Amino acid sequence: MNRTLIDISRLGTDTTWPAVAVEVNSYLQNWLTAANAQVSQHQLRIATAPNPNATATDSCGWRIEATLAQSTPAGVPAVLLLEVFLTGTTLQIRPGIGNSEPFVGADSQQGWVYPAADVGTSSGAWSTTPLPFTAQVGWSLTPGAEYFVFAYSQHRFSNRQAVPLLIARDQVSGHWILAASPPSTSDGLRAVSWNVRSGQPSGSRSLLREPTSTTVQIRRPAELVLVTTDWSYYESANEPAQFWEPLILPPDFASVNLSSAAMSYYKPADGNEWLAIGGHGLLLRTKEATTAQGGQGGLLP
Amino acid sequence: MTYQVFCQVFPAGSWKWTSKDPSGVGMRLDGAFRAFAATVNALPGNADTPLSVIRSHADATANRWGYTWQLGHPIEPAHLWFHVESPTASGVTLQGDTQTYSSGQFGSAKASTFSSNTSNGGYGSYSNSVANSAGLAYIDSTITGATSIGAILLIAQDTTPGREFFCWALKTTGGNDELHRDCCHALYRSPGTKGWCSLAVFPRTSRQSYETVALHGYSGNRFGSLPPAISASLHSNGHQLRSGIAIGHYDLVLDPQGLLDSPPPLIQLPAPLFIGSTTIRGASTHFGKVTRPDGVMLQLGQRSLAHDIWLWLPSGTSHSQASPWMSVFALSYWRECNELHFISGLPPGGLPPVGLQLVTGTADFIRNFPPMSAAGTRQHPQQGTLLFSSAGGGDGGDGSGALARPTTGLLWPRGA
Repeated sequence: MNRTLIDISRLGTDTTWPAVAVEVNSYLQNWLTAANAQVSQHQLRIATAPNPNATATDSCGWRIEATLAQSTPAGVPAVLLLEVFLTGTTLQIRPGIGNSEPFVGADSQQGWVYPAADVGTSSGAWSTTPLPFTAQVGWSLTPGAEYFVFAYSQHRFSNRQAVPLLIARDQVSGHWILAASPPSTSDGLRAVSWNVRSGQPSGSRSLLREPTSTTVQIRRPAELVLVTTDWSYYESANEPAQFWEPLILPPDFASVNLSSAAMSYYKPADGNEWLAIGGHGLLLRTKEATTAQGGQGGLLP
Repeated sequence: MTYQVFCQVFPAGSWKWTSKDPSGVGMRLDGAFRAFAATVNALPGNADTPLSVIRSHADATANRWGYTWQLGHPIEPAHLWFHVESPTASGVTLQGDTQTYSSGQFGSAKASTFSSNTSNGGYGSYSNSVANSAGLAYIDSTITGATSIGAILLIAQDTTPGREFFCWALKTTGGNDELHRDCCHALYRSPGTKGWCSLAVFPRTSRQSYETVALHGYSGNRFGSLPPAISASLHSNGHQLRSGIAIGHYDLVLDPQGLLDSPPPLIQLPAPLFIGSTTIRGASTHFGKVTRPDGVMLQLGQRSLAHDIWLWLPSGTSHSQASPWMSVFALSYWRECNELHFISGLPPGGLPPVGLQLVTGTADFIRNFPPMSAAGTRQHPQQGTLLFSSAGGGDGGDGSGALARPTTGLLWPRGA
C-alpha cells in the first residue's frame, strides 16, 4: 500500500505536545528513510527532532533539511530548510535556504535566508494543556508523488487549525517542497522549494484558490502562488529577467475556497473524496475516483 | 510556419483609427484577421467553431469605428467587438483625453441577440449585451495635441490545430508618456474546452482610468465573461508576469446547464502571453524586451497601474506575410530591460488538464460534511466511524491498513 492516513486524534487530558511530536516523528523517520531510498538525488534529513523531555517553555519540533543535487551559483549544494517549533504557546514556522552550515541564527547570505522577505517566519497560537485535537498523519511513497503530511484541528476556527508539516514533491521540477500552514486566520502558508529554470530558490505564502465568495470549488492540481525572490543570487542591482515554473503539489492534494474547514469532507460527483486539513483550504485525497468503492486506492475502510 | 509574429508601422500624420483607407490600421487589422480565420476555419477540428467578421471599419457610417467578430459555436455563437467613437461636432470627448470619459468599448453578446441593421454608426444593435469601457490611443494623429503620435500594429498568430491563437496589439509611438496608449486582444483555444476564448487587456495609465482585463469563453455550451483569477495567481510584489494560469469557470453559467456535477476543465490563459504587474520593476515605459537564449519576450502593454502584458517569441519566430508587414525585430523601439519574473504555465504534456470540481450544497446531494454539525459529524466518513461505532474505529496499529489510532488518550469512546 503506497499511501497511508492515520488518525492520531487525542482527548487531551493525558497527552502533551512532545508526546504527539515524538509519535509523528517516528512516522516521519520511517517515511523519510524510504523516500530517500526512492528519490536519491535529493536527500531529506531531520536535522533536529522533537525533544521528548521538552518542558512547556522549551522549543519542541523539527528542523527539516533537503539537500538538492542542484548547486547555487556559488557552487554550494542548495539546502532547503523548514523549522517548525512549538515555543511556549506559539507554533512557529520558518522556511529558509541554507547556503552554508551551520545556521547562524539570522537572515544572512552566509547562513540562512528566507525565500523572500515576506516568506519569512510565521506563527500562531497553540493551547498546550489540555491538548485535545483531531489530527492526521498521512504519507505516500507513490513514485513521483511522494508526500508526508501532519495536520491537526483544535477547534472550529482557523487560528487553531494547522498543517505543521508538509513535505511533497513538486510535480513540475521533482524537487521537494517543504511547507507548513500556521494556525492563523490570516496567514495561509510558508513554503520553500527550488526553481530549476531560474536557478533560484522559490517560496510561497498561499495556495492558489478561487474567491471565497463564489460556489464551493475544488481546484486541481493544487498550486502554490509563487513568490519569486526579491534578494536573488544575483548580487548586481541590474538583475536579469528570470523565468520560473509553477509549484504544483502531488495529485493527492487539491485546494478548496473555504477557510476554517479542517476536517470537512468532500465527495464530488467524480468519485474522488477529500479531507480538508489546516485552516486555509488544503485538501488531502482519501479516495481516488479510478479505484472508488473501497478499492486499493482508498485510504478509508 | 504556423506561429508567426509580424507588424506594420503607421507613422505620425498617417496613423488614424477612424479611417476606411485600405492601407489604414483598421482595414489592415481586418485583413489579417480574415486571413487567419480562413486558415483555421479550414482545419477539420474547427468545422463547428468558425470565425467570421460581422462588422469592420468598412461598415462605419458615422463616428463609430472598430470591428465585430463572431465566434462560431454549434449551440451558441457569440459576438465580440471593439468600437471607438471619434470626436464629433456635437462634442464627443477626444478618446483618452480625460480620465473620466471613455469612448472606447470592448463588448460581448450572444449572436442571437444581434440585429444586423445600420444603427449605432453602422454596427447594428443588440437586445442584450455587456460592454467594458476601454481606451484606445488618441484616435487620430491629426488632432491637436496628438500630432506627434504614430502607431504600430502587431499581430501574433498560431494556426497549429489545437493551438489556434490570434492576437493583435496596437502600440502608439512618439509624443510623451502621458499620450501613450496600448491595447491587446487575443482569441485562442484552451485545452479540454470547446469553442473560442478571448482575452482583452487595456492597461490603465495615469491618463486613462479605464483599465480592462476582459476574459470570455465557453463554460459548457454557454458563452459568457469569466472571472479572471490573474490577481490571485500572482504574488503582489509588482514584478511578476504569469502565463497559462487556469482561470476557472463562471458557475452562474454552468448552473442552468446542470453542469455543477461534472468537473469542467479549467480555462487557461494562452501560453504565449504573460500577464501581470510591472509596477515596481522592469521596463520604465512601454517597449520592453527581454532576450533569452531560447527566445525573446516583447512588451505588448506598458508599465501600468494595473495589468501589463508581454508576448513570448521562441527562437526562430518569423513570418511569411507580404510587405508592408514586417518583422517586429526590425523596429527600433524595443529596449532591453530586466528585473522581471516570468512564470510559465504547466509544461506542454506535463500534467493532464484537471478541472475544477464544484461541490454543491443542495439538500438532496449533501456532499460537504462539515465536522461540527450533528449531521455532518455523524455522516463524516472518517470521524463518523470513530465517534459513533462501538468498535471505536481503526485497527490500532495492527498493520491491516485500516485506520489506526493510539490505544490511549482517545477522545472517543471513553475507556474503550
